[in-house]
Amino acid sequence: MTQIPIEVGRLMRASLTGFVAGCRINQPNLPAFGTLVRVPINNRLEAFGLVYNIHVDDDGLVRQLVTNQTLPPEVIADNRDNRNMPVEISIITIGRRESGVFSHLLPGIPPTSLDIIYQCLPLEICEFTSAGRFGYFRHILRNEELPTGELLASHLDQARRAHGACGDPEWYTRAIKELIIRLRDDYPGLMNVMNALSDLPTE
Amino acid sequence: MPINYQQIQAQADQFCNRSMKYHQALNNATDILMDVLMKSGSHLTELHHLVDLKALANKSLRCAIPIQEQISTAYTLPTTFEPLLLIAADGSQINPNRHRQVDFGLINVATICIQPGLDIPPDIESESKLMDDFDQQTDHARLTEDLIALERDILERAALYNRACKYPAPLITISDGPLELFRETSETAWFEKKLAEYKQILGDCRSATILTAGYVDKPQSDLVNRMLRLALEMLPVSNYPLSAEIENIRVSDACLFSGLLTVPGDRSAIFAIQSPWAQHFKDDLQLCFFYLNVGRPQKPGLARVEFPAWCARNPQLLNNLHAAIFRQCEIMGTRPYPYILHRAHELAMVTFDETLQLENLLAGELQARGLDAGVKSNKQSAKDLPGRGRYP
Amino acid sequence: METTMNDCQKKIGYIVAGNLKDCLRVRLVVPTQEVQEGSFVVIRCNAWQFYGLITNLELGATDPRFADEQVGERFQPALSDLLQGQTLFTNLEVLPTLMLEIGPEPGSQAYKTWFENRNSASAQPIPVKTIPSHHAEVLLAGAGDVAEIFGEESKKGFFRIGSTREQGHPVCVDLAKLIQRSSGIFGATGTGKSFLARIILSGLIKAKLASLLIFDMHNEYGLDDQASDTHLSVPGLKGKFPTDVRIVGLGRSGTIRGQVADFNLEFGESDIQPEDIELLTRELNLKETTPATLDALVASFGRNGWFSTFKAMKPGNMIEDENGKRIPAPDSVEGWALENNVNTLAAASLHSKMNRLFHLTYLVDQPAANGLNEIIKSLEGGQNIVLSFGEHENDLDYLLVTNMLTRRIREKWVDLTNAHRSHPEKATEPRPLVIVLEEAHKLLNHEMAAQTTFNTIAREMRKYGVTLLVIDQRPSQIYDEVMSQLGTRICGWLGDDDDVHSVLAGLAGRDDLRGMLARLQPKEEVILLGWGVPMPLVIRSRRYDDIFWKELLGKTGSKADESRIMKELGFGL
Repeated sequence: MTQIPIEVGRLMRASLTGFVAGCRINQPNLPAFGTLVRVPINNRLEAFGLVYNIHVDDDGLVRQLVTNQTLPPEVIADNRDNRNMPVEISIITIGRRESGVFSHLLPGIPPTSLDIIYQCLPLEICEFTSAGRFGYFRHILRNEELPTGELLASHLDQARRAHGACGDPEWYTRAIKELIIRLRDDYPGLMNVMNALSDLPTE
Repeated sequence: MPINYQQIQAQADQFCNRSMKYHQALNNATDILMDVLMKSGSHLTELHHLVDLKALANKSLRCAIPIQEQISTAYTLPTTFEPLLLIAADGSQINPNRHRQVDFGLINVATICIQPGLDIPPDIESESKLMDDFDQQTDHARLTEDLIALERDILERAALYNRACKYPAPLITISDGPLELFRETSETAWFEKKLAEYKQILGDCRSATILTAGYVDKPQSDLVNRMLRLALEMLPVSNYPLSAEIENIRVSDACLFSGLLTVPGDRSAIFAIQSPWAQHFKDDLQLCFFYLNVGRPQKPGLARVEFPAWCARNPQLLNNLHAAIFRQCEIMGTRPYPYILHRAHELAMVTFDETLQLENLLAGELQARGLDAGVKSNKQSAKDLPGRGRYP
Repeated sequence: METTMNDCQKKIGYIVAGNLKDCLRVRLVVPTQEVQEGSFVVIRCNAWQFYGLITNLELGATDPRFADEQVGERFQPALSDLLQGQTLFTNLEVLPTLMLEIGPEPGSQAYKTWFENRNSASAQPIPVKTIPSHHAEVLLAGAGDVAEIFGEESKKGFFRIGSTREQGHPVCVDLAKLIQRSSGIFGATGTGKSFLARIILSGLIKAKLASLLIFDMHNEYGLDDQASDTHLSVPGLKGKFPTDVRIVGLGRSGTIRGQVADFNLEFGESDIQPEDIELLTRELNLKETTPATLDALVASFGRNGWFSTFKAMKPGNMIEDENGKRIPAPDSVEGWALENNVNTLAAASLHSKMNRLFHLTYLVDQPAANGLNEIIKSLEGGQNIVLSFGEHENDLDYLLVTNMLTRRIREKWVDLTNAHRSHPEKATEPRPLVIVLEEAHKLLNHEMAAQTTFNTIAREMRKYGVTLLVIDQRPSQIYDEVMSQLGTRICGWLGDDDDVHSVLAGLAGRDDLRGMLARLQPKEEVILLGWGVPMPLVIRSRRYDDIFWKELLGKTGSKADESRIMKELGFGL
């Protein structure tokens, strides 16, 4: 049965190494931290990325409203539903699918504004993360501005579930091994990741 | 070149010294006028008659006219009121600018409709109108900022009425600023037409029992003070020497009433407006106002609320208006201003980026039709040059 | 030989560093406890196979903090296992010793060409001259690898001395090579040297590659004995090889624990030489005047008669001269000394000290039989001699007899060899002879080495087919020059540093092997070293028990078993 793609927002701005999507706050499909998403660039090319930050910006009005101890319900509803402040979802690019072939290299061109961003389905997660040999980890590990430990833990948790459903429960172990190999000369970095992974519930 | 702060520093001292003197005189004058207010509080008929007399002699007289309520009384916030549907409108405009590539104007009006007390997100709408010099209905050579502003006022009023018609009356519509049209001083046929449209809308609102209000934040008007100065001259209760100092000090009504309206939610008596424009707004449409303390205890903040006379004659409607305005201001906490008006402003605002996008859109459309889209003026191009930067 | 028997080859790691001078470093990929020091490993790299010995294990970490942190307490077990598996590791140090060209991938055309063109030399392992590349696989040696290097029992001359410690693969020694040079069996007291010696001697006797002359100082080898710790019966060589082994008793009526020897050995007084006496300097507490006195005796009475004449002299015998003055009698020691300008006191002292020799029962004027010739004849004929000292168990007997006998045998073998070399068509090459010497440090210490025949044998006699097999617990006491001549060394546990140093002297990689020696199990673990074995190896030695005899001789060797079988068959009770 073909699964319907889940739209999570529209692209607001992009570069080769990442992009920002916008959506409404109460959107039911608001993606979680660490979710794998994709955005079509053209007929042949899609960029894949991981959600690494979700901004809900405040603004002067909200800051002013909170000086009032009690707010009427219509004001809360107005700010929640009407105010044109999107949630900004920051996504780091970690790979691509070109003519149906997955790669952990960056796409050659960035996506364009207002392209729809989709949350990857479990099968897509399995296919992307099992292509190659965890090459996409390098994009995450070399970016010092990311909350690496939490991001990897969240992503691996989601990917673990997808692979479990796809019949490859050993993927998780292989992924952790690969992470350890890549970080074994970086004690603080590796322990940061391991601490985050250890907070995941055991399956 | 940066400011010459050394020059300014010396001038700032003088500025402050003059300010101190002024405030002293202002306080004196305020005390005197407050005394007059208190003493003439119940002499409404005499004051009304006095103003009528003065208006006959001076067509350009602008002052307040007491109606029915004692002017020396503070009217407290009603304890019971009906939370009516509120609709606010605000407009934003892009003024024509010959320095741009494409010269055009734009009016963007947004309306927001709130059901107080219900967990329903307000309903919002916006309308945009592109304006150009190609279709002028005025004898002015160019599309001007004032013309666009007047058109905007009309559109705001129309938008309010049109939205209000979709809901059962009674309800309150509100806009920012006075209800009087101040935009154009010269009498032209076009202006007459616009004024007629405006009055028509106000009349339609009256017919549909749609309360029309205007909110003036930090009012600087001295309508009541002018009225009290007349009393100083004429009425027997007045026995204060009219010193030059008082005569030359302009005391705003907000300054005066801040001493009277000390409790948040208090309003002043309702006044009508005597002005050259008053002739255009007669009978039910006569423009009235009250001052309202929207501030906090020990920190009064006065605003002026304008509305047509027919609303003033309906005590229940008036109470609802009084309470609605105050509750809206309460929402904004420490900086009281009607929430609904702020939202309307936010919805209507046209950003700089949007202006650029629209300009590019129009230029593109023109070029697509083989027309010359024009060029930015050299002056504007120079202004748009990027400042100093660093590579990369 | 093709390495086809690669059963039990298990990958344990891969090469990460190393050099030819020191060692190779291997990253272990199996749990540390699965590998031990001394294990025999094989390293495959392209067309070559390298053989080596694990000499050290070292724990490491990619960052010391991973080792300091007990992550098992911080993380879930699965995570901590993965973490430790990648960040904590064990490195092995491997001493490479041999390399063998195994050619390209079998089955390929290149392999066929290589196989056809290779010569016999390249088919043998050679001392390592290069090193394997990074990431070359390291495996525990399989039975085939062990056989490739150490030979197979089925081949003539190869004797199974024990098995590899971890997997029990049989390890053989090439007995033909063993006897080409002197060798040694070392180990602290109680480590089983005697049992090991019995095993090797049994193998030599069975292989018939050489004749053995065993100086059985404590009567352990010839006849059945009893183990000092278990008190179990220990079969003697005579009982197992009744026709190949002859027990010789010392002295005319020499018996060994009440049993009669095959024949007895007596020495004639004319056999004993001055150097035999000098050898006993410490034992007899002889003075520094002894050599001069002995010289004078030989000068006076000749090499063959001096002893008996000296023995017959009467010390302190006095007569009166024509003046009535008492003077030493002519038949006295002093009389002779005066006559020959020898210090009378020195002579008298020597005579006094030599009384122990004069009273030896196996040192007679005229031996009843030519036991010495009988020994030589037996050895020439391919039989093996166990000279049991019987009741003559003190050092004096041991030193004197072994030296005298060996000197004669050495002379004989030199003559035989020279005769063969001069006229090979007339004289056959003498049979190789191995002289088995216990307590070798008593004869081969620095003091005495120069004086004994054994030193000469160790240094020179392999040219004449005579070698030593020394059995000792204090190798550090053995003269360096002798030790350096020992080709094969089979060593059990040694506690003394000097002993360890001595055993490893002259060997490549001795620093690596030093610790290994000190960590051998006290019993049954030995290390094979030296020229006689292709490479050093720690083995578990065979047990000297019924199974050993059954495997060696192909039948139950003990009488107890025979009687049991008879009983089972209904014969005898």
